Amino acid sequence: MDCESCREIVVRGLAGEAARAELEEARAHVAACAACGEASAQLEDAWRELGKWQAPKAPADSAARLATRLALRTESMQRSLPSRPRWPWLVAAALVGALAGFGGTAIRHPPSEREPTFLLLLRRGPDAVDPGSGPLHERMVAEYSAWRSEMVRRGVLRASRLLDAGTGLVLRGGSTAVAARGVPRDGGGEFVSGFFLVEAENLDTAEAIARTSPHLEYGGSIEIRPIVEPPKPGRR
Amino acid sequence: MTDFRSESLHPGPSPPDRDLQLRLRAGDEEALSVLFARHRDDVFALCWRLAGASIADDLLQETFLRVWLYRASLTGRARFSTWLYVVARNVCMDYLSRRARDRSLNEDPPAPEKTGEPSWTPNAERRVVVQELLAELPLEVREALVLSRFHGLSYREIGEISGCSAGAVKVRIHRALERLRTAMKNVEATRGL
Repeated sequence: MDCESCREIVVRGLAGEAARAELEEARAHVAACAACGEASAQLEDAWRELGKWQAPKAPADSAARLATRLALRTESMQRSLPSRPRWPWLVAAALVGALAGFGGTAIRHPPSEREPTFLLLLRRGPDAVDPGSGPLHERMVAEYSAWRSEMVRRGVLRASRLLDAGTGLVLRGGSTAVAARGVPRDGGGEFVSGFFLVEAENLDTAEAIARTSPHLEYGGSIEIRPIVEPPKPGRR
Repeated sequence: MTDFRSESLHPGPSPPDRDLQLRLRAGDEEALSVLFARHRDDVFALCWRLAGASIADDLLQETFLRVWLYRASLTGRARFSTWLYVVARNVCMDYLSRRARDRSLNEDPPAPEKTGEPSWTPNAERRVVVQELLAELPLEVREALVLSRFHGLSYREIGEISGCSAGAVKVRIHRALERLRTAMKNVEATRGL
């Protein structure tokens, strides 16, 4: 056996890829070759050193985050792939949606079945609970996700998004940056942390939906505003 | 909402991956949650070592989103973990390609991202040597080394995941370990040991 073959077997042996007979042959060579003996020890040392490069475990909230992302994806697919018969209301619904500024992506029901739409603006202020990144954050994510999933299950949610809490501007003649944690840098005040677009029979029903949100328990506020639908095309 | 946090959603022994992947293919979210709980640390570790600590969790999420979206391509012939590694590896490669493309637009690109602050050794020089070498290794070489050393995969399995032959994997690992050996030897020589 030559030195190159010996070292190749040593490496394969470290990776558990060498047969016993090969290893014995390599060991015999190492015992007789000082250079390969030294190289073999160094390779084992390098393999051992590499093994100390231990990765941490996945973050504790990764499960909750995945559940949220899957729910978002599912809802998005439900919106874009309606399971009901598409024609003829799909074209009309897309038109109405586009006029309303939603690009047709949030359409689920034919126009005749659609209920009024309300915008729930979730606001947070300096007194709202800071979720941080620990177990509280995980619990809050789970509770918000559950609330949202329930709206999806009931078929009332048309769209929802969180807003980046650390970036943004508030324009009031000049401009005010939004700092980390979403607090405006001009000294407090509330900021919008996300929104939900829901269908409800009337303002009372929309309020009932909003009151089930965990956002209120965590010190946030919810502004409920009816969406003004574009006028329907007149009939002759 | 499906609970992705615990593996054992119901009393009794946890079903093997083989059964779970069939249920997953049929659209069973609970099967996904069990597989996630079972494999998330391995996938996270792979992403952590290939792409970096700061992005590893996002890539873990993206991996399992793709697992869900592409579940129809599960045939049941291959081991689920091998298929999962293929998905995770592709997610990492996509991310690294995007990052490289973004950096190519900069005149002064930043140094390769370190894959996290290791805490394994009191010997700082050896630690730095290993970390720098790993950051410099071509991605396919680092991938082969990581999958072999930390995930215990065979050369054949690594080849399946990386889309190359077992022989190519053997060459990559051999060269990587030789480079590491040489680098560590130089450190020892510098210290006069």
